[in-house]
Amino acid sequence: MRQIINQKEESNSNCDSMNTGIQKFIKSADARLTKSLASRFCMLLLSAFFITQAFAQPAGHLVKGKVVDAAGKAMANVSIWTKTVGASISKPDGTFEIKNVPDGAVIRFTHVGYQPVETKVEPGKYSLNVVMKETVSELADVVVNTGLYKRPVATFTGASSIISGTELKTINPTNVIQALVAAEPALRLVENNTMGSDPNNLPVIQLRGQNNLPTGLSGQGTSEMSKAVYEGDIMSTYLSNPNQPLLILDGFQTTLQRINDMDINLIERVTILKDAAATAAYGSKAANGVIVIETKQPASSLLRVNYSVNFTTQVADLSSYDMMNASELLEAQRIKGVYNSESNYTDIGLKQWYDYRMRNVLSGVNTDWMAQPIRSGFGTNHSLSLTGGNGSALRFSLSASYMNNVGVMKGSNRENFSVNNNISYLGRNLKITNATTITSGLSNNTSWGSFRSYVQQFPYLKLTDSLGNINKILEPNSGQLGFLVGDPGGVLTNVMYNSTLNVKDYSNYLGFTNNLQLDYTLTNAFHLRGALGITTQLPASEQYFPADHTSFVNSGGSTITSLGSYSLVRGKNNTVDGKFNLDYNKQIKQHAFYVSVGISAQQSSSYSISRSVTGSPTDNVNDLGMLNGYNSSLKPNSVYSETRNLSYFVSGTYTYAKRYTVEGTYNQSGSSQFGTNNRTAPFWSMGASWLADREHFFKPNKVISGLRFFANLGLTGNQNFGPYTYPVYQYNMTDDNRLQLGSLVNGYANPNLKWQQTKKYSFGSTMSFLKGKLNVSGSFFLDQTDNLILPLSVAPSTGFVSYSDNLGSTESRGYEMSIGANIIRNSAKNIFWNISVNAGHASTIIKSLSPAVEAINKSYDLVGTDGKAQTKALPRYQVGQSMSTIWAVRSLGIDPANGYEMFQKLDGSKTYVWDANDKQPIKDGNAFLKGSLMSNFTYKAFTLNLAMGYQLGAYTYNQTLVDKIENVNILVNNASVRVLNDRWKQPGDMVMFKALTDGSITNATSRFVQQNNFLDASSISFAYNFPRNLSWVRKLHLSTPRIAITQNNVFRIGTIKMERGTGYPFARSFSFGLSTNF
Amino acid sequence: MFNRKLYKFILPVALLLFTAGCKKFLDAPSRYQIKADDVFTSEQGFQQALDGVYLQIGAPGLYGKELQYGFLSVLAHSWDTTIRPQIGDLYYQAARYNYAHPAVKTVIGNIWDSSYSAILNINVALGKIDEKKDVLSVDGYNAIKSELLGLRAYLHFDLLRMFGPDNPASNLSVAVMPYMDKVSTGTSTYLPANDIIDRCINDLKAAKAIASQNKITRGRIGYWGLTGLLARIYLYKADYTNAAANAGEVINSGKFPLATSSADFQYLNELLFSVYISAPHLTQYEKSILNSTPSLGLSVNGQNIVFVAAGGSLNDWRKLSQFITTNGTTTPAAAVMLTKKLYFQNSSMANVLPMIRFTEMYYIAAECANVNKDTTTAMSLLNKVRQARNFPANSLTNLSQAAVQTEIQKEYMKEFLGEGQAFFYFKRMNLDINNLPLTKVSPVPGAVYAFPVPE
Repeated sequence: MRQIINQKEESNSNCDSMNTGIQKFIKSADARLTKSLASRFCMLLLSAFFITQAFAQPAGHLVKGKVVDAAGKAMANVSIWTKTVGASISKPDGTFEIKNVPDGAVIRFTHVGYQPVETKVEPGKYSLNVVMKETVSELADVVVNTGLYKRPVATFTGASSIISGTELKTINPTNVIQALVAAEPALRLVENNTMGSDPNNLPVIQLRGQNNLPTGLSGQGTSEMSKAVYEGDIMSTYLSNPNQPLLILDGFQTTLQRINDMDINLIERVTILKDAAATAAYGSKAANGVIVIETKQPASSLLRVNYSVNFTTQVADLSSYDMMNASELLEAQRIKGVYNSESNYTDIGLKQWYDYRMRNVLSGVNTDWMAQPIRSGFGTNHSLSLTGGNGSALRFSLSASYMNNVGVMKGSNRENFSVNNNISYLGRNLKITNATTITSGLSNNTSWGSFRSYVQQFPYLKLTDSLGNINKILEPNSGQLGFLVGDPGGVLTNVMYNSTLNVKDYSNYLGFTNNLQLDYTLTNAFHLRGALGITTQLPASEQYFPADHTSFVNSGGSTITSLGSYSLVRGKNNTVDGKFNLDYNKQIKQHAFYVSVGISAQQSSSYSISRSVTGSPTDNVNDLGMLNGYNSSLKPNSVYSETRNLSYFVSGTYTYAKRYTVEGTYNQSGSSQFGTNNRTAPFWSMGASWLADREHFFKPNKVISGLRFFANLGLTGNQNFGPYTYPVYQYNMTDDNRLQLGSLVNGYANPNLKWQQTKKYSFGSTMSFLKGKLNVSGSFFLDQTDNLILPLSVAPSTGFVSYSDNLGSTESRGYEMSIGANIIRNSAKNIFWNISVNAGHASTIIKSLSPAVEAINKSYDLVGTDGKAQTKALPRYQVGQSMSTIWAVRSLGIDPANGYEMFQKLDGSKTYVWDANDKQPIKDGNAFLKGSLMSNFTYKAFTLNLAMGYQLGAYTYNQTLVDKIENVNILVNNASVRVLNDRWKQPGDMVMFKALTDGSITNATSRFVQQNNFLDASSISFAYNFPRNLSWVRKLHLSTPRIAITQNNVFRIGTIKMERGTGYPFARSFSFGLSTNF
Repeated sequence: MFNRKLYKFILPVALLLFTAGCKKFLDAPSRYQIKADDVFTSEQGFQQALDGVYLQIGAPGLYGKELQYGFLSVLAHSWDTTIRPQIGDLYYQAARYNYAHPAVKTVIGNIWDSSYSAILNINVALGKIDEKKDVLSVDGYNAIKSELLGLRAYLHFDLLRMFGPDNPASNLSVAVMPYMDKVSTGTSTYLPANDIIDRCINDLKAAKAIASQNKITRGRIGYWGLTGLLARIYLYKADYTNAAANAGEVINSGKFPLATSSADFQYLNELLFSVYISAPHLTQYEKSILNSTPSLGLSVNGQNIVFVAAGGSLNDWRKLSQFITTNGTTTPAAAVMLTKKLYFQNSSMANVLPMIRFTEMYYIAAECANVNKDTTTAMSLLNKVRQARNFPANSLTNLSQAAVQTEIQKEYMKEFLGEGQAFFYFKRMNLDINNLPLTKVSPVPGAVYAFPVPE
């Protein structure tokens, strides 16, 4: 007892030092939080200590022996466990020694893939020979880990893909998400043509199509929180992309930000669960599919250090840009009539400007504006991990990583630092794992502004003045030049000027995660698992622009009070997650049973407070408190959201004769997001699989070696919607009723609101030919989503303004196929060559909508106040149409006679007048086929990898052509060179573009709907493993040094020519990596 | 053995956890707002919900402007200056009763939506008040519940007066609008006027039963406001007995002395119920009058027509020194003359707009007497009001039944100038819309009083 108390004191003092350590680390963090985090951490440590130390060591005998397998071969690394002594392992020659074993003690031998052996130590018999038999069933085969339970892949009735961490790393050594998308055809990255390769922009991913209507339509996903805060919140982040698959990291739900910022070296493997049978246990969160990521667990080994370093260079890909040079632009402006006027006086003035600019052109000014904000980004990743715990019951790993993703625009980068500590205790029946991760991220945005402003800048303007200064205003004004009129197009500001100012634009976060997992083996058949995860994150972001910033050039107001702005956001995200599972695995002759029961609860909350102040006359006034203050329209703002989920599941699998499997899962989910009248929801799935190759009639042959079929159906849910379920009140803070505060119902929520539900059907097959040299798998799916949340038109006499209900439904169907071939498998010469091709298709059709959507559609037909709303192909939602259909007015081309565009009305008649009512579905934006090709060639120690992505049959509205050729205002913006060359000039011209002199706005027309097929070489990598026997390798005690060179986004061949990366350029990256163990 | 124990232990625990704890656990607070259940945990919460309704009613779209000196007063011919296109679409088209015009349509739509939104707020609170009776004091419960019921009747009745058919007395069975007495998102049933009137009366009777007679709550709808509203509704229903009874109850209560001087422009002591205008909306009136394009006001000529001509008096306190120009003087140099009772720039003004005036009780009682051919009583009632407005005692004598009714109509125009009540009078009496007093612009062809229902 005294001993225990002492230990407690000891660990308490450890706690204190840990406490101060952490406090130092989290310097800027909320003190209260730090304390609670530290105390939680201490509690966990305490319990770990307590458990380890509870096993004392009494005296006994020395037991020696050898472990062999059924064939008599010595077995190394067999776990040997005795209650009184603890654990150890067998030596490479199979021998072992255990000291202090009392008589009658039970020694337990375990090894993966073998049946455990238990031997009782009889008095006098202290030498043991242990024979271990291989596990009869295929339990030890590849296992599908759904994050909630595990099943042998052969008996799994769902569609899933398993990708190892090593595979991912060869595709992309730095970014997990990019690598996953390249490897899995069902996973789709929604390309963001504006944000390009901005390292601080998180990607948008979808698995097997999009079952949800866009966020703006349903009012879903709207978050009043700052991006910095919601990206780190487990609930809000899913609201921002309602189609995002559920992400599970080591058993707990996580955010896309966490995965994006993760060290790829830590990933053991990734399992992608696609259909109902695979995901139903997640119930109301499962409809978008699930991505389960497992990190490497400490292995039983001697102390081992793994280090990898990766140097990445990013180079901007500007090949899609083709802008006019100085003389071309001036000529285009002249033709357009920029320098002409009916009034003689103005005409003379404008001609003065033309001459002035012409002098620039003639003197050789041809500024390459696009090159100014661009750089080659040199980034580094370091990953260091240390694992150990050889032979003892306690294993640990410690890893630290630093990643710096340096973008191609000057000043933009994303830095991540994380430390991870994992301690496992492996007892006879009990396994305890505690993992703590501290992550920190810093995202710096460029102070150079949007890339677009450099693309648009006039090349005949000088970069700097004669003294080399960057001027805020690019040209002297007419007064200074003595010209009659002001410059055409108004005063031209230089965005580059902002880079000379003291501007702040960054966001950061500090995160802490602690996961505790307990695994208790009750009997051979029963396993009990419990887990508790705590995640806290402190996000923040700051933006500061002084009055001199070009964004204030056109805004009025006093420099001291209104120009210049500072905004600051602070947040706090918390998640507590608990799980409790019971597994039953039993094999009785031909019958195998796997049953899992689990319950899980989750609470997540997110708080953010933001403050914006104005008035910074100079960029020395650059801290929040130094600025003038809140102006009349600004006030501090804070948002709090909290979600709670509770779910339990039962999943059972029965396999007969290792051939026939039936599987069923039932889940009951409850969430605070559901309406008060529908707090819990039932979900289920049923599936079956058949291993035809194990049938008696299936004779072993050389052609077909494996054949498996599976089919399943089920009901899953989606809760990526905002909480509209409570009647909520809001105080009226502007008015008072005789100094009394009044409160009002603010959106009476729908108490009947339900989860969105998706009924999923899926079937498929995996086949293996030519002794496993050729593997083919395919699966088909049909997803029917109901209860989509849509605005409901209610009679105003009910008093409601907005009201949402479950009204919409969609249907997605598609397939995925993959073929893998071992073209060369020559172990003797050590040459291997594998090729794999995969392809997938998914399309979503709208099946029903609420009548209120018609009003939204109508709003998409309005021209807008500036008359430019229709220059984009705006969406229209119609039952029976694909979600990605491009709607535009059908164009018959440019009339060669007069240069006007001719349209076809809905009744087939021809007209020159564009009318929004004539819009019709032109093409589907969705690809007919999307997939990848991969090749992996190994010759001795050399490896060459190639990964390519492709897309066929997709269409895109070529916004670049519209914006940069026809709708461009060359008075103020530079344009594509095609403005000068490809536009209609005289009668008879058969061209694609209207005349340059035609000032009409080009609205959504089928003329710009173009096929978007491409082949994208996403990755080429070359690696070399240094042989162990090299003298320097031995001298340095290295075990597997490896050098790898990877090039990402090598080239892209496409049918469409449009500017990519309008706000931030896309980048090609080249990386050089070294890794070694010692 | 062990397994069986396990089942015995784990399954019940899991079930218990799920069923019992589940509902409570899932009751997480949502956004940065207050859950209805948390609002209604104290008397203060109910009071705030009630005050929230008063604020909705006092908003410019309802009784803070448009249903007082704004839109409704243009329809009531209270203003005559600048009734021309330059005043802007809303008031110019309103003067023409052109309800189809988009500007007018928007205002009418807002009156409908905002009234029903206020009714929704009332219904949410009423839906909770009996359930949470134990958190309220007896007085608090009675006051809050009676006010909520009273406001629900007030809003519905005014919607009926606006959206109901012309010549209401003979169209009591035409379906007009729904009476929302509970929170519902389904389709609402449109009821005829007599049904709506009955429901209003039921609400008011229930409210009156628990309201305190001793409290004079001019800023809230208390016992006397409820009684006044009942008199108004019975008169609309042509139930003269009950109208006279309720009006008489107020008149004979002795709680509301008639004015004896012109010091109080608004006659605040004569208010049975008024709505408080929160400071940010106070400037609305000034803006609509004092802005660079002066708009609503009554010209000197108009003042003479309303107050002086045909048996009126220059000394009527409602006219005498009441009208000032935009620069604050009483000289009629500028065309736009505003009435001081709405001139909030004067800091001595209470920030209120009248909802029910005491004097209306005299008019109701007079009309009831006049209908029963008792012109003497009718004239004596009117004379009391006139005396309180600086007329000599017994100024009306020997008038025919029709002449008495004309005097009542004039009183509605004088007493409720810029308060919109005259419009309801015109509509109730079914006066020829093309031939109303103080018409400055001809109504559109086929103009009617009844507002089109916006849904």
